[in-house]
Amino acid sequence: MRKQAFDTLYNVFEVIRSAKLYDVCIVGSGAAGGMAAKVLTEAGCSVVMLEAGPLLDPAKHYTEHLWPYQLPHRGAGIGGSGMNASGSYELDVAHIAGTIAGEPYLNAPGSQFHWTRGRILGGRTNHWNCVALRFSDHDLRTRSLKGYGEDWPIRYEELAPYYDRVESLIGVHGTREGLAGAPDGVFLPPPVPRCSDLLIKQGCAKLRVPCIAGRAAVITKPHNGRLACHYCAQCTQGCHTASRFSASQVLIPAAVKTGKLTLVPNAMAREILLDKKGKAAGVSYIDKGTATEQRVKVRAVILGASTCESARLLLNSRSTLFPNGLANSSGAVGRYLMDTSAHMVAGDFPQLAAIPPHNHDGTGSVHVYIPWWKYERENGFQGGYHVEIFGGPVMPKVGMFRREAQESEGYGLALRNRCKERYPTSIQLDGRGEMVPNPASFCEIDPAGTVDRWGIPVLRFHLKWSASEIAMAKDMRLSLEEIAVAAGGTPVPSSPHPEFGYLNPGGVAHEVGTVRMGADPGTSVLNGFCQAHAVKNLFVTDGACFTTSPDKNPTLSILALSWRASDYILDQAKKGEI
Amino acid sequence: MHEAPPEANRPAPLYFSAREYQMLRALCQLIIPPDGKTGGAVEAGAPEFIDLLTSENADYQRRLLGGLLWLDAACATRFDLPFSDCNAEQQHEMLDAIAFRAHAEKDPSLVPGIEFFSFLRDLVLDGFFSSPIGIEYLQFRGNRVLSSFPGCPE
Repeated sequence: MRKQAFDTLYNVFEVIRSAKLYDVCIVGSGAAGGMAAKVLTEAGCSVVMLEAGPLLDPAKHYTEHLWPYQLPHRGAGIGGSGMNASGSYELDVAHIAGTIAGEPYLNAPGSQFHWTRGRILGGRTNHWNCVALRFSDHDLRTRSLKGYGEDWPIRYEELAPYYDRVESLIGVHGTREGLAGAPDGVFLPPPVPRCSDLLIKQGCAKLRVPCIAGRAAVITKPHNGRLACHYCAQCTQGCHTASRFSASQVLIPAAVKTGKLTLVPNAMAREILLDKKGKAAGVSYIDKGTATEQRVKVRAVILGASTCESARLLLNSRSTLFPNGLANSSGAVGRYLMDTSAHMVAGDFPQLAAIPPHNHDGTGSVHVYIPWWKYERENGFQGGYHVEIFGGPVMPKVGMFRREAQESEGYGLALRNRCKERYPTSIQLDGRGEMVPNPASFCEIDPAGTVDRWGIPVLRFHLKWSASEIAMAKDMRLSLEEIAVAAGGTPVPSSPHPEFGYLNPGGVAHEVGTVRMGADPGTSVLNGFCQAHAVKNLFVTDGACFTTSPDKNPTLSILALSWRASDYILDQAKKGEI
Repeated sequence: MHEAPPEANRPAPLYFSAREYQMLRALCQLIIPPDGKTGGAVEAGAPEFIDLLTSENADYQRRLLGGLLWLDAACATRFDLPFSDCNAEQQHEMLDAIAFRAHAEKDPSLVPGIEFFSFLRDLVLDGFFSSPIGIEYLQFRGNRVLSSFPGCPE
């Protein structure tokens, strides 16, 4: 039923070199693009949206509720690679992958950035853990308050009304706690804790570490026409009921309903075209189906192509007016690429094996979490981190018993029983930390001239953790181990990264920066409304616009910033400024 | 729930020869045997799972084919018989030797067998615990639609 509704809703563009002039072209259909499309079409603008992947067909692209044995390779992927034919992890939503055939990216020597790309309507919002945390006033002003990073050109009070609106629209659960570093929002009731969550909460209470209800974009009650969560814990496999927010199921259908949205799937944007006055006048893209170049004519352009794709598009839009890439007279485009710094501590909690077998799934997100708690201390690093809690008797999957096999060895009934005993007893504490912007972390157009199969020059990454992130990882490990012990568990020794146990950059897929906003046009690309300093009808509303990368997961803030930018566009258009 | 098809109706393996596959199946069942209530790795479809992945991966092919040949040669040295012709006691003696890394300290010639067995054991565990039999054995109760989440039982 839902699928049919989707098919008839989409107004799919017929590929012609259309003479039609649209009000706005939005590149990308994820959190940023989807939000802008909804706000602008509902206000009456005609919008053409370019999406580099196919339209979403949940029946085909989502793997929710499938058992491992229903997948062709039981989740192990082709030849045990983990990957299916589209390059996605076999158990995850299709067309969201690090490796895309014919679309490479490069790393400079010494850099190990992993770039996860969503090439499907709704982008990576089809596949996320839904953690939805507001940035605080402190997060937006680290330069003034603590002397590191940069100040955003927006204050929390300006962003807060948009957080309110976003939360009311998409549905976010949580509890009001009054913590300055973790501002409260408009919350639905949170889900009750799982057994594993209760253990960690008790451990935190002993240490006087806050452990509060999770904040996530999963609806625990029916909300704006969507069904409440059915607790299958598979948010990253796609949610057929849209109980966890996705742009493809919540924002795009709203925009389609207005009749003002023209969706162009399989359209890979390659260049932003300018008029003689240096204003954005159109977008050139490759129609992947026919492998031909096409163009749309527009009055304004909004980039929501994802952090690095938006930077790539600007850098590839060179002209006599902007020889180093569009809106890049500051040289800041591509610069200050940041991810979330991450370190995970797993612990064994044999007490979980004593609890009778039960459905432990819950939502696919956090039921409880630990907000950053060491504000008033000297920590030896900049910024903070929060901790997400997962684990317990989750759905069995391939790879789950590697450690048991390593430790127990042997074979036969003894091994079989040992796996069963250990199965419910692991809890993971995921530290998620701030990365401070540094000029040594950036992306650029590959100087050797590599192009993808669409003829578009590709990115080369330079990404390095600074001393601050390394010191933070050490603190994460020690603190998380302390929490695991206080909770009655035994931390599992993890194999340390040469630089103290970090995931490689890109591992959490929270990359932001590269087209940052700032008060100074000499060191930033956008103003506080995501508007290019140099091109008044060009906006970048995805993670690229972030000035810093607080420990909080970026999606909620992307939605708020994109909504705010869209309101500004409407206001400026009314005044005749755009 | 699907059970393994009876012997006669089983489709031919994608990659392994009949002889290799028979040996692989025997090893699967030794690594995760039936426990008297439910089936083991063979009933869980582990050999088919391993055969599929191996048919797509040259590294798996080298490690598994090489491992099977190593095992036959090692059994021939010990018992003058290939693995499949050894009796149960002899097979257990051989596997006991290569199922623990520590045994390499006394007898470094076991290292290739230990490496092979460790690799195969991981694949067998994957095949078993991703099957209906394995998932039921773990008493996993999730992946169903609930109207509310009850939390942790008292």
